[in-house]
Amino acid sequence: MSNIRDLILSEGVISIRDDCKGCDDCVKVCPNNAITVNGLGTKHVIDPAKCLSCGQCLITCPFGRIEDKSMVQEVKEALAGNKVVVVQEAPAVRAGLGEAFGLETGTDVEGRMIAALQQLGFDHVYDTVFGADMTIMEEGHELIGRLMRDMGVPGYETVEGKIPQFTSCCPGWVRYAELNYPDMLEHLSTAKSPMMMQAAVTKTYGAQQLGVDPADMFSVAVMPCTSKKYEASRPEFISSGYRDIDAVITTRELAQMIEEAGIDFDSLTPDEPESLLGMGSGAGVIFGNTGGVMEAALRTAYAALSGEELETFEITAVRGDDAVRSATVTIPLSDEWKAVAGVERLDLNVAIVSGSQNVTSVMEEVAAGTSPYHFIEVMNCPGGCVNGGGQPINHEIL
Amino acid sequence: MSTHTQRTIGDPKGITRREALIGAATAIGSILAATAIGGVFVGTYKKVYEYIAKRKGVLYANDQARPLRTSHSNPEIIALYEQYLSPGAVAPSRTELSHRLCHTVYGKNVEAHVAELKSRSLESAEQETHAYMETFKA
Repeated sequence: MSNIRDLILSEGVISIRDDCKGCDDCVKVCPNNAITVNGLGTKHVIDPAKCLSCGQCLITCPFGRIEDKSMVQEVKEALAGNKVVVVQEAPAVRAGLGEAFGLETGTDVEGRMIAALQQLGFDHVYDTVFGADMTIMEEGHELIGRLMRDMGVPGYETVEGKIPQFTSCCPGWVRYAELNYPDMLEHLSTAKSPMMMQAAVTKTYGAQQLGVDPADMFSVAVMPCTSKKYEASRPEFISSGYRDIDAVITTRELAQMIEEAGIDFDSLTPDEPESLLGMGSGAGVIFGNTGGVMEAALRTAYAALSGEELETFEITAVRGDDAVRSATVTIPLSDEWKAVAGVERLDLNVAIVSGSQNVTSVMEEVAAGTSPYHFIEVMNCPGGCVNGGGQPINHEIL
Repeated sequence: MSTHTQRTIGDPKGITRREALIGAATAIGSILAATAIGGVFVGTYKKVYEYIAKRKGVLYANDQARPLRTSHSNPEIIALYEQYLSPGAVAPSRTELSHRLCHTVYGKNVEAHVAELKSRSLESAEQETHAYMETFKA
């Protein structure tokens, strides 16, 4: 994907067509003021230096005049070629894909999505929910490390990164932070996103387990997100010794491929992702909702710190739709943790931000050193990945 | 003729009665239109909200229906740590492989990180990880 990758890095993923009607709807939803207006009713222009590639403008444009760069051709060529083509799908894809085939909004098409990918000829169909579980393991233990270091617990002195810790799964939010808060990046979790973690172990551990030369692997990700195309193109994602991801397609583009292949989506027999990198927990699934990463992380942090599982896995306090939400979760410490931390329990203050531009007040507190929070989730798209810029567009509503 | 239609209503700009009536009608019309558009906007907002809530509902229901509810209880995750990322341990340890494959950097640190990744092979990270876990166990 070298050519398209270079284009994405220089121009961004999203572009406005020349026949733009100049209606301004895109300007209103852009989280980073990246769309410039030269005059009322004239063609709008996206500034690649400011664009997050999130695609909120694309799904909002009432005339369908905004486009994202496509890697569908690369995927088709790989499927027709000799490489071992591996695919992962983000949680939110199964919550939106059915809409492209006329199914009612809110239909879970997980099993049919897997079956469709198998029919399209992917050699190994895994699941990004596995990658989400990896992210929780890494990000959760990173958070515990930062907390213990700040409490002066021996053995944690060399832990890097600051509290509050921000989530780093959302490439739109990561880019927003890099552009607007370059001096506060030590607060971001260093954990890669589920897509990139899954990709990194696919061409290493996965290739070794399958007995495949990673040079002969082609790694595809199906995402509800246009910014994932940008993320996968970033120069640092070469940890396997190869490009960790070879191509990213959106939910919309997968629907288009299924349709072009003549697959009757509705009548597919549901299937399951392959084992090895395909099993995922419910915690990994809810990553696609605002508050979901927080809820998943709390389930694991609670178990790691208390030595017990939560009685009720649903943490409704972090669910909801408000742009900024907060909660305090009390975690009783296990005897081992009590001994080293010197306290009976931890009151973990958490916040959830839906929409990158809504992070301002939270960031002001962090900068002033008055933030009450330990852990903050930010997702760029309002509502989370389920409302991502790569999801099917419902013109009757949007 | 002109004297009839162009009588001013005491406005220094010389607005005629007719213009004043049109102006008033326009103002009232605008308020009505704005209210209507506002209503449509609020209605649209509510519809979008309900629409997204349905998609969110898919993931919450999917979670609830799964036998596995937590990341740390996923046997394939445990196998990944035990066999590869931190050999012999079932949870993350700060191994070279975990650092290389699971973590990243941001902003101005990216360039140096790319150079570091290019200068070191995956195999060296795997060897270091095994050595580290041996001393860790000891």
